[in-house]
Amino acid sequence: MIRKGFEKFWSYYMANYKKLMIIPLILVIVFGAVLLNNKIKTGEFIDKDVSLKGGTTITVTTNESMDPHLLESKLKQVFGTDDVTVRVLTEPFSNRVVGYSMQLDINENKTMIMNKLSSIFHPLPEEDVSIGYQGPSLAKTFFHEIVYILMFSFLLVSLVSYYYFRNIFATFAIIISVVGDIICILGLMNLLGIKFTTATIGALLMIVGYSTDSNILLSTNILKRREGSLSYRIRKALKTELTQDLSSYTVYFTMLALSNVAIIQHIATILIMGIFFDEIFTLIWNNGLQRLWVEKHGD
Amino acid sequence: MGIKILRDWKIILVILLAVFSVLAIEPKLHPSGVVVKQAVMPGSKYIPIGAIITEINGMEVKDVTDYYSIERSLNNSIVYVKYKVKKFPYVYKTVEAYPFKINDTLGLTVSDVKRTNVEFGLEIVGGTEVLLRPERPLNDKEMESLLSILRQRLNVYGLKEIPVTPIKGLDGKQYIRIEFAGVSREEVERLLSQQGKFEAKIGNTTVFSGTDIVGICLSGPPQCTRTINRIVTSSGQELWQYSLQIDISQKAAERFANVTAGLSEVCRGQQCYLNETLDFYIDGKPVEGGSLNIVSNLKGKIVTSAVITGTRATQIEAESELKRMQAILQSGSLPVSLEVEKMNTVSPLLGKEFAKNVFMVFILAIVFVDVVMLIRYRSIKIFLPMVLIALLEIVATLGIACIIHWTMDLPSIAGLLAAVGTGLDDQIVIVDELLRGRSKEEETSIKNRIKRAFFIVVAAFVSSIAAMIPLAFAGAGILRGFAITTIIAISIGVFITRPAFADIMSRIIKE
Repeated sequence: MIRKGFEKFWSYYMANYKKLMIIPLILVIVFGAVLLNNKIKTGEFIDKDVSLKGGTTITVTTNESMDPHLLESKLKQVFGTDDVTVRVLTEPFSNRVVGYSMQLDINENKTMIMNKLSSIFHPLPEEDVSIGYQGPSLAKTFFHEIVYILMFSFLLVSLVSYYYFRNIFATFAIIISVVGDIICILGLMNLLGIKFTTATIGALLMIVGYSTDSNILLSTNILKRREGSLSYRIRKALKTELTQDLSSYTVYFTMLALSNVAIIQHIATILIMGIFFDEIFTLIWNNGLQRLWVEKHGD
Repeated sequence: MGIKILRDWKIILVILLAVFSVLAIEPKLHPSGVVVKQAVMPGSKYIPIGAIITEINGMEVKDVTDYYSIERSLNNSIVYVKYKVKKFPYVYKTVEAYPFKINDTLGLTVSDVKRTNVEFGLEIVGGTEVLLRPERPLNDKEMESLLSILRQRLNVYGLKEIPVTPIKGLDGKQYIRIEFAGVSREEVERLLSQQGKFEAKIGNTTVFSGTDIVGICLSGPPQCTRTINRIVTSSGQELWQYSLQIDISQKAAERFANVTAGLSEVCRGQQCYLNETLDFYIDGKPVEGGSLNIVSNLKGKIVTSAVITGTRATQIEAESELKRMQAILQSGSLPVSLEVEKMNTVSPLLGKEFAKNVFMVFILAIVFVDVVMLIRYRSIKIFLPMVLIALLEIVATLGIACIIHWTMDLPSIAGLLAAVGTGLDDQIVIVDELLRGRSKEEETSIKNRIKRAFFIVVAAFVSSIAAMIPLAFAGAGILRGFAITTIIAISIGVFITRPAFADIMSRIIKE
């Protein structure tokens, strides 16, 4: 069954590579518009969480089951801020509540926070509460630095790919596909209401590496190698890439489904999105571009 | 294949790496004893920090609970302590401490022996992390003095061995990072971010400041005053008053004489006082309850010792205030004031949940991905080396983390998971290239196939490393753990384990 399906996909994929290129194009336009819309509405391309904006994260370990929306409105009322995000922590494989993670746009000391919280959670032993505070100025600097780091990593990726292929076109194609991947991830995060955090950066940089890897794998097969037919080489590259994606999906879906640690779940979510978009940008967009190039310049 | 493979230097390197990593991590199945973390008299004289106490007066010490219950039973007696000192991983020398007499405590702070040498971060063991920013840029000398003052202040709280590290951001901004367990946020804020400029004033005249203090009472009565007393105010409120005696310089004492000479006397009942009080200030703010009536017979006298007082609502608060006062007076004032830029408190309970969860996710992710690989390649011979190498990469990364004393915080663990993913990707490239090279279309030598695989592996490595290095320094190292762990893990992969993997695979696939 799987084999038959793959063959069907394969013949369509090989014959209609030009037509397929419309998919990544639409994705970039749609997600790009989502980002722009957010920029116009809020002044930022994407909403940042307290780790990049400054504020307080409170984690309460409790078995008390509470409606997260109700908790959110209670927090808004008690702390007098509108910027509140609540996440329910559950045990893996079950819906049993083990606690709540709350992000608030406040800077208050522990005693004040504990006092206010005790009107919501009772009982509230001190050892069940963890509090994190992030000052706004460090958060801001960090965000600016990240933009530079991302640009720097793009520059490096282009240098590496140019060194490998000695071909401006291949370099360009790889960069476009990595940038497209990132735009789509950010756009989708925006749509799903996932905020940009420090952990997002780590995940995005992993995706830059991952995407470069898959693009180099494909470009090597299309542009550099000469053994066998073009179709044979693409098929081999595709097979390797899909195997890689399968193994990555397995690891990251496990992380997402079974971890109740916010940072690990977040990184897993971004990586899953990234790998999905990478498939589209590498296997459809980059593949299409490079085959057009081969058509023009010969194999 | 057989035994010949063991002569391959790449394989030997991998085996050595495995052995070194295990020795560095030093996993123990049944850890027993307690490690000495801090020591004061009398224990500090006989038992070194880092020693593992196994026996007290012939009674076995298995864990911290044992230790404290034994210590409680000792009273005014001679103790015989047996402890172990680490000579090499798994090799310990047992030492019998010279018997010594104690009153009620050995003076040691101990903790359980850990199962491994891996140091886990705050998110897992619980505690507080603080990032402080000086209000203006400091030169190296100022930074050094700032650090030593901070360390001294922490020492007063018995917080020795607390890592106080200066950090420089990519933008050149300076930060100081401190990580410790068991102190509340308020205490830290008061202790660290206060510049600690001490002044004693009569009216508006400063009589003496922090620099005039030449001695502080540490021993307490009968030598000098260092007390906590319950007092009742005239309004009937019950308060706790701390008193701390200090010695001031001759010059300051003369200033005191000059100022008081001009004051008049006021008598209430039998006691006569001067008409102005001696007020204490820290950073320009009056110390709570820090107003002293000056007994009239001190008028115009040169006095070189004074008692600083203050009040608090409870005894515990008064005790901690006394300590804080001592810390500030002893360490002197900070060259600049500090801003709390980031503060993280994690409860040990939440940490335990984290640790359990992360460990389970690791194991399951590896199991699932292995099942997928087994289905994909349908060959146990390909599958087994994949699993072993992936596991080895994790162990080796943890081993190196132990050797360089890298703390595995949550971002580090996420980085390790991410690196496991990249490692598998590389293995897949290697296996696929080796399998491809067998086909009719592109028959090529094993050497060539490996070369092709590494072409892709190295390209991905270079771009990842290049992105991770700046990340290690961004935002005062918020994601340093992620970056460093990824760098360690993928470097081990590219330089040691993947060449060996390619070697093993080429032998298997050739057959």
